Amino acid sequence: MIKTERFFDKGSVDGKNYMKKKRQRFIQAYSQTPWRKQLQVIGLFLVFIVFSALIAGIYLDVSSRMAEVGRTIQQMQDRILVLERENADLESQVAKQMSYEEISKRAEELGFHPYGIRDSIYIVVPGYVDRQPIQLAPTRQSKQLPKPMIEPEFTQTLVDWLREKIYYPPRTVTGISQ
Amino acid sequence: MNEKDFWRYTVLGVIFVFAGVFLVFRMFSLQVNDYVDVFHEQEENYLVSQKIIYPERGKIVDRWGHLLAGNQKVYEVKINLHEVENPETLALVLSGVLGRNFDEIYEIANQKTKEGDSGIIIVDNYVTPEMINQIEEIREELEVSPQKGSNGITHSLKGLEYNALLFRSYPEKDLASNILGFVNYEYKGYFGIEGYYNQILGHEGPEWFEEPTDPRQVVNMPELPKGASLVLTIDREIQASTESILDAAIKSSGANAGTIVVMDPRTGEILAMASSPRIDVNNFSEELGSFDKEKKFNMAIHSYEPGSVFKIFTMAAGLDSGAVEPDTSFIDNGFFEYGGVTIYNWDRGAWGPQDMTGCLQHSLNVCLAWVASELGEGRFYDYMQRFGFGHITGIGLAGEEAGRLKRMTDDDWYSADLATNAFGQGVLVTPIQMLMAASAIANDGQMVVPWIIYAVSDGESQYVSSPQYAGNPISAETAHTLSLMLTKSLEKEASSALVPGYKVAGKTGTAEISIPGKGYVSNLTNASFLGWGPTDDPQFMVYVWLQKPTSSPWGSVVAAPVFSQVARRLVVMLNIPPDDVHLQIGQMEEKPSSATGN
Repeated sequence: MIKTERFFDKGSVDGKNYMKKKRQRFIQAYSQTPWRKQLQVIGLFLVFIVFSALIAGIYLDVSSRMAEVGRTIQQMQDRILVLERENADLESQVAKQMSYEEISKRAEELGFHPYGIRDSIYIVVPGYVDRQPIQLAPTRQSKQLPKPMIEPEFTQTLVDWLREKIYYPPRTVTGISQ
Repeated sequence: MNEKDFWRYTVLGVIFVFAGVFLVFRMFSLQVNDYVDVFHEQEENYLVSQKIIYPERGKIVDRWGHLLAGNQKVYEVKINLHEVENPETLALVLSGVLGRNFDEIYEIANQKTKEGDSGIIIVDNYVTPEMINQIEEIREELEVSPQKGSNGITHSLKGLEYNALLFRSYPEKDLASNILGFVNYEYKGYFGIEGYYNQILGHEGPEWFEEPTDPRQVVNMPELPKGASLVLTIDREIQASTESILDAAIKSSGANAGTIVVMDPRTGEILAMASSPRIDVNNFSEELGSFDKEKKFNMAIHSYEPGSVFKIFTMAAGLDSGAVEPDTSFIDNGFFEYGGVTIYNWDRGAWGPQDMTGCLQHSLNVCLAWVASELGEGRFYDYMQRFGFGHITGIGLAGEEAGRLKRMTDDDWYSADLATNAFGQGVLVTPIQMLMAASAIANDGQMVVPWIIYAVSDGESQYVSSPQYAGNPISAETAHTLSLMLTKSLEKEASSALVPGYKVAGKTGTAEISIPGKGYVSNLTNASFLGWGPTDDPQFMVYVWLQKPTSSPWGSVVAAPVFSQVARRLVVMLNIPPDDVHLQIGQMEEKPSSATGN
């Protein structure tokens, strides 16, 4: 068949038919077959489904994690409240055990008695500092801005650095490092 | 597709269409039917759960950190009607453990819940953990060995729920209760520190909070700031010792009520403030009946006519103004007429020639009325104003009274008032005002404001108070002179206020009490004593007031020994060496410096 095609005149009727057929064949050869088109539609639909499932999955995952974290936060908040309550209660219980009445009773049972004006002996203790009232928190002080500090690396020479390393070895928490 | 398949697909399609139509119809009918509102209501009920948050009220501690007011765990007991299985069990247990009425609880537990009702009824509040433990033990017993009740139903504590919360606790019971005040069941502070600093110590009450039941809806719990904690200037040991001395004094003197206040005259810090009667504020609702018109919650801030103890300030004004000097001579003939009234001495006697120390030593009304007359109204009241009488001190305790000092411009002021005010009659003062005024005499003329809050702490920082001075009503020289005069007068009198080994200055006071319609009644008195020591370096100042003592009406008999007892304990507790040791220490400290100087 290919062999015969070569002998048709392109301008003749046969030639025109031949070209039409050839064009149709070409289109046919490169156009989608119906089943392929269906496959494409199905494929797109599946892609959409998969994509939607993916989004839904991510959404579910995020919301379930959110819910889990939310529950954990709520539980921790509850726990904090419970612990704070326990702490305050225990503090009161300790204070009851250490109250003046209780301590005096225990001291008397142990044979102690309040010392009187004639029981006292006074001696001078140089540098003695009388006890100070309780401090429940650091005393409020005006905050001082940190002074700008230039690291020694920018100012010292190599010789200075060596001298420092030799004569002033770095200290550790427990003392001078070996 | 053949014909057979076509019909199959058609039937299947019709079924699906009908199913779809049915579903849409059902969805529509659910949205518009009569129960929609009910469903919405039920949905809203379950959208959030109600939670109650009790912010922790700030602590109150003494200067060394001993807890005076804290918080303890108590329970709110409630019945969940939806869960109740046997109301009889609930009534039996709650009546047995909590002491509630059986019928009342049975009625509550047996009632039917209404549509949409939460079904939760609070049956008791402020239940102790011990009681809850008892209930829990019973619950465990019933679970292990079930028993049937008289109604034939198995005993069950289902439906009984409790909620823990914090409530105020005072571990020291009645110690310093007059200073602290208390917090009532509505979480509001009353009296003392609790009343005055209610807003600082904490919110007034619990706060309800709606927590979404949907776990995805995470909302922050409302952050109710914890109350700030307060550090008092009070020393627990000194307070306890002072209260014990006061209680003994009230008992032995037969007094109606009384107070002893201890202050550091150099700084104004109140070290102890004992008051009687005193209650265990843990049981405030049962014990508040101990107080009445005369017996106040805190006698130290309650005003009264002080009597002769006020003469200290008349003399201070006289000396400072130059109207009199310590050796000014006064001949006491037993009476003094001024402004149309005649003033007599406490014993109605004439004490003859006296110097000013003698006038104080014998507490001569006639002499002090004369001193006031020498001063004149203008100067006398000007000095008394400078000493702060007639104004609250601002110590920071709820219910502090201002007292009353009449002014010349007042409608009810008469000339005779000058003479009577001079010896403490016709003026109303509080013990705390007296201490503030006297601090000028003990503190080189500089008057300190008494204070009781040493520091406020919000948990992160502590704000420490510092002494506040309220001017110099008298000069340092007058203060020294008067201090020595008061020391001498006590020594000459061989007063029962003296403290062995220590020089102390002070003055007694006995004031008749005025009864409406009867006037001043001689057998009803207010006995007082104001003193400080050591005279050379005052480190404590004590005010004693006993109301209506019956063993003796005189301040010198009932109040002066109380001062001595308190001072004897104070010198030990405050590590104050006796005067001779103090002198030796001074000499030892001087030697090295003099050696360096040479």
